Amino acid sequence: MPDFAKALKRLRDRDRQPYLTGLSPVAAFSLSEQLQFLKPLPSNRTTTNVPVFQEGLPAGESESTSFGSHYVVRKSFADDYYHGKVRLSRFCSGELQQLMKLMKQRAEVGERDRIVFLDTETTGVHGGTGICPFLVGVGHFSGSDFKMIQYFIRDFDEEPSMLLALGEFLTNFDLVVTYNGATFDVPLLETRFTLARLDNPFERLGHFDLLNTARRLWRNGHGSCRLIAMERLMSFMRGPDVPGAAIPRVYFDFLQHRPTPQLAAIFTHNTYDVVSLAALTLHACDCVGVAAPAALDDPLDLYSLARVLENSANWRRSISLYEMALGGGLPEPTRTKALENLSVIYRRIGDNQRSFEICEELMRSDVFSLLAYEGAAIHHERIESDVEAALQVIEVGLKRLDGFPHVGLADAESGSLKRWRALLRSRWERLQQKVIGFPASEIA
Amino acid sequence: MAATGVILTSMRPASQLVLKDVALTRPSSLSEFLGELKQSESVSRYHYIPPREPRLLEIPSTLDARVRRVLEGRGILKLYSHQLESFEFARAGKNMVVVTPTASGKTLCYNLPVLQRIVENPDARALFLYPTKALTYDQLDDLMSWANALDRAIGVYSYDGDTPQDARAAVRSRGHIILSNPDMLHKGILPHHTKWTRLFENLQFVVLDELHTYRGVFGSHVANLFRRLERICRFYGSRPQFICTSATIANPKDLAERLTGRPFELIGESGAGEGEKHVFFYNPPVVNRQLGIRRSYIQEAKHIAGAFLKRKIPAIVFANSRLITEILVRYLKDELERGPTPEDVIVGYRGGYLPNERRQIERGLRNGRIRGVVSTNALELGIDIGSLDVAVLAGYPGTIASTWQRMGRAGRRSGMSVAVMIASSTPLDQYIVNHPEYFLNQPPEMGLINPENIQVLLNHLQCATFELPFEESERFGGHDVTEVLEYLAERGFIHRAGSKWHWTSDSYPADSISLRSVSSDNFVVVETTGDARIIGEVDFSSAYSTVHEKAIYLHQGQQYYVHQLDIPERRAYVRQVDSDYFTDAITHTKVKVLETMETTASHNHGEVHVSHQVVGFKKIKFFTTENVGSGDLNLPVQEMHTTSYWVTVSRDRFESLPFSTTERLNGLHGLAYALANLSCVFLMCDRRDIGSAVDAGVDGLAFQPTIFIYDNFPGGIGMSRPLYEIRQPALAATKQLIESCSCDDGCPSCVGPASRAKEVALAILDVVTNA
Repeated sequence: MPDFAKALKRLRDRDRQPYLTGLSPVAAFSLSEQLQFLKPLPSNRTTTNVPVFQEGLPAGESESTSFGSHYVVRKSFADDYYHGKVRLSRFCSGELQQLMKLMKQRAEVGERDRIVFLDTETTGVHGGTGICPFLVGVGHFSGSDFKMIQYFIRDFDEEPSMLLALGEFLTNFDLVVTYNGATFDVPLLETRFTLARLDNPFERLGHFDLLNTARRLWRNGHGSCRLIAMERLMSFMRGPDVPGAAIPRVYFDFLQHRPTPQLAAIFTHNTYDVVSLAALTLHACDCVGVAAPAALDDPLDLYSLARVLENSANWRRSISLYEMALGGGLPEPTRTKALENLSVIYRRIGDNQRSFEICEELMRSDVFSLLAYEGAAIHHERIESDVEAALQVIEVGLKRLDGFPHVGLADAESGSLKRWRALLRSRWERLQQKVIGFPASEIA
Repeated sequence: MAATGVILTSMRPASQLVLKDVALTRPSSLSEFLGELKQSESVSRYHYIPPREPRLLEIPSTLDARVRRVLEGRGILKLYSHQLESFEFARAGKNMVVVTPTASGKTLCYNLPVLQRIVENPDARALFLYPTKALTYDQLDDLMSWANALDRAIGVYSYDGDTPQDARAAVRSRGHIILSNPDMLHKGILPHHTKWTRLFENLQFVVLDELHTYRGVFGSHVANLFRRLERICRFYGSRPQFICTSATIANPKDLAERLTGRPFELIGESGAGEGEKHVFFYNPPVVNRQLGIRRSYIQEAKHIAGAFLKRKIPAIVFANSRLITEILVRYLKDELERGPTPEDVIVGYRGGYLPNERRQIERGLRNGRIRGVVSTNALELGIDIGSLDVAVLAGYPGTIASTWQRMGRAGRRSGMSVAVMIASSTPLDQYIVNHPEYFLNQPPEMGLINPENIQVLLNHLQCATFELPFEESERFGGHDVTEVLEYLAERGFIHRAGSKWHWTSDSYPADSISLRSVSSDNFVVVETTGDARIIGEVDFSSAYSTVHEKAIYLHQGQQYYVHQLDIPERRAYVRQVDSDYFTDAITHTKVKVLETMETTASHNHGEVHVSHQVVGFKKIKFFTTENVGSGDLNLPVQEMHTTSYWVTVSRDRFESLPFSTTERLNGLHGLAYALANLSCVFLMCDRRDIGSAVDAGVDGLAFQPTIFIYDNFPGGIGMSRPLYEIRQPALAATKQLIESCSCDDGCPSCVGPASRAKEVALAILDVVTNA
């Protein structure tokens, strides 16, 4: 039997020597450093601020299940609650169904009261079975109110009870909406249900991860699509907040030295996340809805939506949004891309003339557009049966490419030059073959 | 007199030229050339291994007809006895370890029972672990063709760091047989076990190939990894059988049992046939007797390998380091790839080559396009390179097992093969080449591990708790580890709630724990020549001696000058340079006895405190190895607790030896040097695995002059106690080595060059052995 006690004593001695410790729980910043920005907690946000109770926990109650107990905090947002400029109670499940259809999400939405919005706070973000969700926030509509329930574990042994209650609660719903839940929250919770040997409630739930939608709608215009950044779209300001990276430490601190004053801020953070998720879902519905584009004024957002609509074959609406975006002024290379897409859509719906006009406009532009030369050549060849004109267009394009510098280009640039040249070249050869009756390459 | 016969026995440059001429004008056969080798005076021993008939047995009737059809499709109508044995053991639900030589059809020993089980029960799963990725890919193709011939629904996949993210889910759900490595099991599979429920619920076999590689630190880690695997399997209700294969080592069954914590059956007899083998022990001729200088073993290796290759006899050359591999490739290319000889008949093969390049080389060797290969130990393991006729070992590989593995790379199941071991001038090599009977009669080394090393255990208890909360009453590897868990809790890694310990840190512990070293701490080497980029990593323990400021750091044959060592940030900043010297650090080592576990007369083993300090460095010129300068360094002292064997010399008798104080000290150091080298012969370990130090008993740490041979890893990896037990043969061998060395005062082959060191060392040996 190895003598662990003695070996450990030596380790403890060694631990006092700074250069020799190989073992420290990742502490680049001390906890107090991490937390100093939390000190001025929001004081006047009546709807989301929570009174602090025993053990530094917000007011709530301990609930029991056959697996033990856990802690639950409930609150409610009334009919007249505005999240920034978004009135939450306007939420309509039909519009969500349309949004999801547009985003090619197959899940069924069902009634509004059967949609649940979910966000977890965890002991880490690395993934793996050792990460524990210690706070799960769920929000749902009930009548005209939006209800919020937070399941919290006061220590790790409360997790099975919390999961049991959560799993039971989730049976009331058909669809779960998350922000990045497809890669994070849902697999994490599934792992925890497996570890607790409980049925996985997500197997029967539809899932809509809003993050991907948000990226498609807003990344062009706004860059970062983190939920906090998205709140600006809704004119909602959180005020002081716990940064996500500090959350695990706050919880560990609570486990060791409860009460921890900062813990309440995590409940607030989680509430913000869930309510913002619901509000942003509503906002996304507004943006793609028929009543739009009233909700959009940024040309880049209009362009983003036009692309989404184009992808789901909404040609007419897509055209009008592209036109509006172009009218509002788009930066390059987005402008060229918009014109190219527009030209293709016009050809699709049979408006060949308009499609050709756009190609001509693009060919006059400083930005080289392969699609414009191809489009114009197709127009000449197929619509006007004028192969000669098609050949000429291609030759102009090739000549323009020859004029580009051969040196000093980034790999990607010279790569696309090469590709463009090859594509135009093969089109030219095919057309030439059509004229002379045998492959041009065989002439020489 | 055959002209070529002289060449190898002589060291006159003129005769070497003759060899070349003869080779060009009169290509001789392998057997003809053998005669020439046998006559060489430098051959200290010629050993003939007669051919062996295969032992073939009928395919058992219990084998599924589908599997039998595939076997027959491959022309296998009978099984070797060891293949049949393993099939029967597997059916009886036993764990087994198969110890047979290379190319004896070892893979069938596990493929057959595993495929049979999957055919019988399509839910069954198996995990195959190989010590390197290269081996995994080597086996993957073969196994896939088996599975395809059997049933297309049988999924065989590799799963490692190279598996694309989007393919991983498919591998997890569809793979019946997963081929991976311990590092991936440690970092990628166990910490995500909930994604692998199909595998763990149905895991019936774990195959561990090349068992003998799991020794020392690596083995100690892997033993703990299997403790973790066992916990996960228990959670999902499975209890897999283990099938291990191993090269010849002294304790395969014991090692397998220590690694997995399960009882094992041993299959030690190979039923495969073997062709005859001619083994030569070759000691390069002495060029300066007084100083004990021999001709370079690298030159000799080039010469001998070159002679075979010129005769168009396919050969593999093994070198003991990457650097020497590259040097030998260049020498041989220079000599052979001239004139009408096509390019790339000689290639190098080592870690650090890209996988594609390696695959090409393996193919080239199999189809005969490549005639010669120079390799590090990378080709020692079972990668399929077909069969070559000759193995040339440039330097003793360090262990008997490794030597047999390398020699086994030459040889077909019929026909003859040749192996030549060329000794370098280190004491280890000189002992082996002068006492080949030791090598030939001795059972090979033990695979030693110490899974209870506290550092290693701490690492894996973190991972284990991360993977699954640790029950208060739970044991780990049969031990009550409560105290260790409490220590982790103190450090804030884990936290007890109710009756379980939970992981309570936002880190992913497996990420910072390497299975191949004790301490997870390492330095990164940052090149600052152009844009800063990381070019390598150095273990914490060797950082001070290899990347201290002003050191020349070698990487891929390129030299870098270390201009800054940032210790708190664990970074070494280097610049590319073209220098004609390399650096060698000067380390002062002090050892203090903490506790004596066992003692007999002047021999002891127990726990010690070792402190190292790198105090300076020497600049040494490439090729000539002259000392061209030095520098002082002021680096922190590195300390560790480890286990040690030590031998004390009675102070009175030491002081009454009829030599000067300096001579006595030289002798003591020289003896430590020789003993440390020979200890490696007797323990199955690399020279770097053990350290040696001397305490002259003058500055009060020890009253008696003492020689320490310690485990060079914090916490020890279990080598000191066995060394204590086998001290008699080890000391006797040391004596023999020193006595039989042909130098006058001492040379690198025995006690190192110092005035009268040999004489004194023998006198001290006499004192300690007759104490």
